Amino acid sequence: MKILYNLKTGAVSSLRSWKGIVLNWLILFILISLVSLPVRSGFKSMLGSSMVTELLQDSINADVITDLLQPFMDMFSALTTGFFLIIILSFFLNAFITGGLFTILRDSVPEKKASVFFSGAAANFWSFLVIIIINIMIFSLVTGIIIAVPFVLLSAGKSESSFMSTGGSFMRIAFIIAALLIPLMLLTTDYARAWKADRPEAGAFSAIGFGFSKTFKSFFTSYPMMLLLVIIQAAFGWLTVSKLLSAKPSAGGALFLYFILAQILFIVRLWFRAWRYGSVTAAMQESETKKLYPEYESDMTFVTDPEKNVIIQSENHPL
Amino acid sequence: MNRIILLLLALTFLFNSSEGQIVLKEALSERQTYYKINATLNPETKTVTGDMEAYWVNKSPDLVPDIRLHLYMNAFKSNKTSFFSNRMISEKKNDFGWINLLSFDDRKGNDLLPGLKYISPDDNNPDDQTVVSVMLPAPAKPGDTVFIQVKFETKLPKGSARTGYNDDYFFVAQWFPKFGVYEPAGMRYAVEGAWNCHQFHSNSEFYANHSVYDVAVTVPADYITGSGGMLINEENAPDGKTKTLTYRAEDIVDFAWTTWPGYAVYTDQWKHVKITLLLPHVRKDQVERQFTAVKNALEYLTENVGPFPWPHLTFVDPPTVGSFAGGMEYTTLFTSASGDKVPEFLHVTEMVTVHEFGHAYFMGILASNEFEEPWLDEGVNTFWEGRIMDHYWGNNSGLINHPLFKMSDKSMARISYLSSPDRQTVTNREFSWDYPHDSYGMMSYQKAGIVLHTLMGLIGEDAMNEVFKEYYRRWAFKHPSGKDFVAVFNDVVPKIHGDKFGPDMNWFFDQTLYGTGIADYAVNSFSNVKIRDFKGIVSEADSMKFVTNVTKDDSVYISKVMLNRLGEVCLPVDVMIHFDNGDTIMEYWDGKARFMDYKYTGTRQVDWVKLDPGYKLKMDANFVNNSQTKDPDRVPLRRYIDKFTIFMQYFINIISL
Repeated sequence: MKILYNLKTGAVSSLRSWKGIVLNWLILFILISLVSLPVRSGFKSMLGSSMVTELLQDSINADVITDLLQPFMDMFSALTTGFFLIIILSFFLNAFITGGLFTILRDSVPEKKASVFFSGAAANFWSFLVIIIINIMIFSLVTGIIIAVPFVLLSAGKSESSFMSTGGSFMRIAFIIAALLIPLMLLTTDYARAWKADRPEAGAFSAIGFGFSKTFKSFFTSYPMMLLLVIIQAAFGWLTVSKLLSAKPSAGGALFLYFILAQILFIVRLWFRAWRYGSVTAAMQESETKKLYPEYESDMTFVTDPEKNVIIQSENHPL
Repeated sequence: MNRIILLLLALTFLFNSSEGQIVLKEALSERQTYYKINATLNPETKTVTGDMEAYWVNKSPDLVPDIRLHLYMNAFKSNKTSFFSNRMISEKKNDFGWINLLSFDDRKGNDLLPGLKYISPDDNNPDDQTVVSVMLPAPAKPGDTVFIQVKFETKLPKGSARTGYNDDYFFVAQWFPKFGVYEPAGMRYAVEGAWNCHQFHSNSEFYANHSVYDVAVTVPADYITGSGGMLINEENAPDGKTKTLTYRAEDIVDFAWTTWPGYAVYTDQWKHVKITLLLPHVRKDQVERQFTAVKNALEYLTENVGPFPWPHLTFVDPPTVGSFAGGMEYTTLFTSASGDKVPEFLHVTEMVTVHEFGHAYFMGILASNEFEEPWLDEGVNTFWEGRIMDHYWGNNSGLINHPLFKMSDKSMARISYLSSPDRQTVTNREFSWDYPHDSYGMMSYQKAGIVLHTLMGLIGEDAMNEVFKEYYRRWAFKHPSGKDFVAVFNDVVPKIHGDKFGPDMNWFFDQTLYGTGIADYAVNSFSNVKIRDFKGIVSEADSMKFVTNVTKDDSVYISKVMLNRLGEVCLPVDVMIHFDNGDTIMEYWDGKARFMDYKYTGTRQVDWVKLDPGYKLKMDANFVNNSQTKDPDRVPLRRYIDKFTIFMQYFINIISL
């Protein structure tokens, strides 16, 4: 029940925070356009008025790539730099955007205004950046150990043929364990961020500490919730990406519709993520509220008194 | 006296065996050499001990004072052999392999070992012992048969260059003393009779006479064995620990075998050919893919080149532990290469199978000299590999067939050739070990393959097939050279096309295969200039009309199409010109001049121009400049940029938590 309540609360609050999601999309779109538009111009210039694009109708054509190899390699060096810059920049921007999202997803912020979004984004930027980086480092290390240790143990002292016969299944198990760690990483990171967004005065490391402690204290309710969200997101992502990348609109109008559809689907994808943030925020808020009001039940509704800045009980459920 | 009688009896048996037909209905070759070998594998010491009886017949008009044999396993004897010098690598000491000749007698029992001398005809490397010259007690006269009895011990190296062992896996190739080819004056490029017996090099293995092989191999009883021969007999030792398998192979140029306890054996039938596949059990999902590939190749080459004469064919998909053996050809035995999981869209496994099988024709049946003209088997075979792959697996998807990316086999060869910085460094006249800058692979395989695809683009597929059928008719089970190959084109193409391409095709081969030039034709530009106050007659689309330039519809234009030859190679090329009224003109440019202008006067304007509209001239270094249009189609480009944007959006979304 708790899981469903948190998922529902997360869904509602993320839907109400649609402006933040659209802002997220817009910022990311502009960022990627910084690379994609010059790439497009570069290719237009390389192809000139050639009709060789007829070879590109079906799929990327190896002959055309060969013929454009030299100019493409020249462009590629600029492209790879641009690509890495985008990745780094998107990391920073994501820390900023999630700061805003976690702020407006809270129950205590009934009006999901852009001004609240940006002030929350600015206030949480550095802390969120630290939280993300530290958590990624911790889980990369753990995942690396999980995959590397069996590999080293299996390969040491075994002949190649016997390793190949048994090594495959061990490695598969190691990869499955590593995959199961992903929801754990997301949970600790999201709890830390949700907690930090609720406490502007708290530090990033305290938030990370909370993230881990909360994850393991509420493991049996939080983990299935996150696992479910990850599966839904992954399934949606996989379906949309595979369909979009294999689609072949061949006329200008169809291509325009394709582009619009792709962007709408990506906004839905961003909403899925906001839903995750909202659900974790709801789970975090529920436990924090219970600390203050042990009689609190998850189906109670709270309102905020703007003057006193305290939570007061709802009419239906007097405390 | 008894000894002589015994010897005569033995020889009688031997000759009956070598000349008799067990596998084939009739001899396909001259059978100038014969081998009978009893070999025993010791899996512990990684050695093969052998007892060999063999002969070479002097079919030349020369007195031949010595015989020359390959001892290829000595290529792995030290890190100073020519093989390792070619590779610029050194091997660990325990990886070494070698062949020791324990005894070497002639038919009379004379010990020939004192007259044995290691020679290095290719590079005078004193540390290379891969060729041996053995002086005969008396020179072999024309028609003489030189009979030898050799006991040898071969230590296999740890998996190296498609031979050796790894754990309990064995691929036994280049393992026994093998005769070189004696070339009398007039054969291929020989101006006087001499042995053609090259050292073992990193990039070439084969040049040998077609022979009969009677080989018995003794291996541990639980080992699964395959070879290039037909299994005649299998017998377990009384103690049950070993078994002896007797194989017979006829009219092939080399004999190799493999043994491993982990093989699964599958068989299939294509017409008269029983096909046996050996592969690890874990790859049973790939059995159908493998058989499909080999049967497609059999069908295509039989139809377009000539029959596959043997009733047996064995191929091996080596396990990971034996991956060193992957991708090699021994005519009726070849190895493919794959992994435990190969996605369906990736046809690399099929490509290797088709290629290695193709060598049964180009090197096996048409036994050219791989050392001196590697393009004649590797390049020709790459050409046929491309045709087979693209015919059966899709013209644009012979190698990769993924919704996002497709690649034909031909394109792969074109990429390798055109993207190589050495595409203009040397010609294809080099010996295999002499190609500079590691350009052997690109030059011998890809460039030669692309040259032949270009030639097919010019003369057409049917003419190309006719050429190869004639090549097969003339040279099957003989030793053709590059000039013999070109001579077939010179004879067949004029018969089909008259003088369209001139009296012969030498101009093509001299520029492409034996030249270093690049082919590149380009549309420089086209223009449509309106003529004011035109009055007169214009001809359009086979009709003539009088035009007075009084209304807009009657506007008259001078349309000019300007073409360039940017590369050194001159090839005839089709030019397609499309007008705004729907007319299309096909011009034929001989491609010799550096430029060509076409001029048209009429009420129509040129819309677009395409050189080589079918992209048949695969040597053309740049397809992008082959066409120009007033209205380029940007949709594919926009689509890819959109997909790039989508990919980046999702990628960033995933990694940014």
